[in-house]
Amino acid sequence: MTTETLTRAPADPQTAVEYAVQTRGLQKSYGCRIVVDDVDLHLPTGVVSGFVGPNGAGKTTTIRMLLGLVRPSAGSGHVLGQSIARPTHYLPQVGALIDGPAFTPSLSGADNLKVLARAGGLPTGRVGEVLERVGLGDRGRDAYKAYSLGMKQRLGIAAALLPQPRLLILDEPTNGLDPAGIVQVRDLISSFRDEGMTVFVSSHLLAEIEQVADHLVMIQQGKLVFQGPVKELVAAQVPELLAVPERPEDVDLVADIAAALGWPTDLADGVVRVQMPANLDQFQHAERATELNRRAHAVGVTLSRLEVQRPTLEQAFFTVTGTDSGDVH
Amino acid sequence: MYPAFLASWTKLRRPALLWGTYGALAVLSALITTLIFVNAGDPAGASRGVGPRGGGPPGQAATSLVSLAESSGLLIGLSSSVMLIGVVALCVAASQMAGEYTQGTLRTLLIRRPQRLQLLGGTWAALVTFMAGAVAVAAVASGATALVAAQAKGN
Repeated sequence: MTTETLTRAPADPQTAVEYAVQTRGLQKSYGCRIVVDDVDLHLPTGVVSGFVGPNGAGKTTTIRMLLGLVRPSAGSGHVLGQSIARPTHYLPQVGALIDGPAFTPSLSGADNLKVLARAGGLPTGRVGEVLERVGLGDRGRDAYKAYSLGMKQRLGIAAALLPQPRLLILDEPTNGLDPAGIVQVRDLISSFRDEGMTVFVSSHLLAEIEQVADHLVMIQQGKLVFQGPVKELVAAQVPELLAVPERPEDVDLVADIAAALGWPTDLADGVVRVQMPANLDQFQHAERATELNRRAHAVGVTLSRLEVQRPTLEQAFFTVTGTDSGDVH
Repeated sequence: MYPAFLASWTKLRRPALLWGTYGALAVLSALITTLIFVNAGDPAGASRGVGPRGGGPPGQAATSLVSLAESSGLLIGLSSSVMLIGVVALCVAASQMAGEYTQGTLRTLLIRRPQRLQLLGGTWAALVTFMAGAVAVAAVASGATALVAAQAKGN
């Protein structure tokens, strides 16, 4: 976890900042219920950062505080180097989609974007550009209510792109989308990073984030449980060697062989799981797999499956949060 | 404030809302004007309670033909519709403001225009001009009806 102290806000908003978003002790409570509790965010500039947590963990509230829509109960924060107490200083450089796309149903997609462009004092010529960007170039004149869910989400992203933002905040952009729609949004997000934007994308679906994010912020019950590069999180997990014998009755034999080698071994559902020390590299993992195979073969057991399995982000998440409840699938 | 005004007008000028409101007000004020003329100089009609709704409570003496012949006579129909226009203005303003909130478009607007007073002022100014347009349309409709009705009465 990063522990740098808050840097001074630069006077010039164009100055590159190390952290696109930085908060310290950010807290929000409604009555006696604490929704966001003492969150210290450090979001490096130029990354796609996944903001993950179960429904109701405080993701949207955190994002709302960053956008100046709700006032924090305690703590401070900086977005693009400017204090969140003065949203007017940084919001012209921030694009956001929060709580799903929200537009006037009877207006066309293009007109809906014109409303926002005019409100922000932006040239309405941007509307056509951003519609093209999200693949709605030929549907801009259709009424918003006639759009499919995927098109609505993409229009929401188009709206966020209007000000040519340096920071893009997307709250659940893949909510309710079919697999094709999810892929489209994911491709858009990676292209935004390639264009130099910092993207902060929240989701309760970890599997989606895993494919696109290079940085991760995990929040649970209002508390930060992890933040840092995705690699760091997965690397900290212990890989496993999975072995399945051809004949199910040999499974005990394989487990005994592994145990005899002094490797911590589990046996479940006809699968032998051997835990690999995290400090071994992939060649040493392969060596161990070969050793197990050779010994099994020596006692007349043929393995039908033998593989080293790295834990997924999902498994890592449960290890970090120590729960298997919630909505994270 | 001007950007918010423009943004708000982009929404208000959608045909169903614009022509719906303007058309309904024009038709109603023309109707009220017609009723005033039909009842003019006919106290019995007024006491039966079929008098102009916008002009005053039933039972009140109906507008005389003499007052209609005065120079301000052209506007009597419109002034009778003022209450109605007020109610329509309130409805339009309330539905627009409430719609922003329930549809969630207020959030996105506030991100693009964080200066809340500017947003409110611009929206208010847009609604005022929208209703000013409605009054103008109603005035024209009422005036035109009065001219036609006066000629019919004169014959």
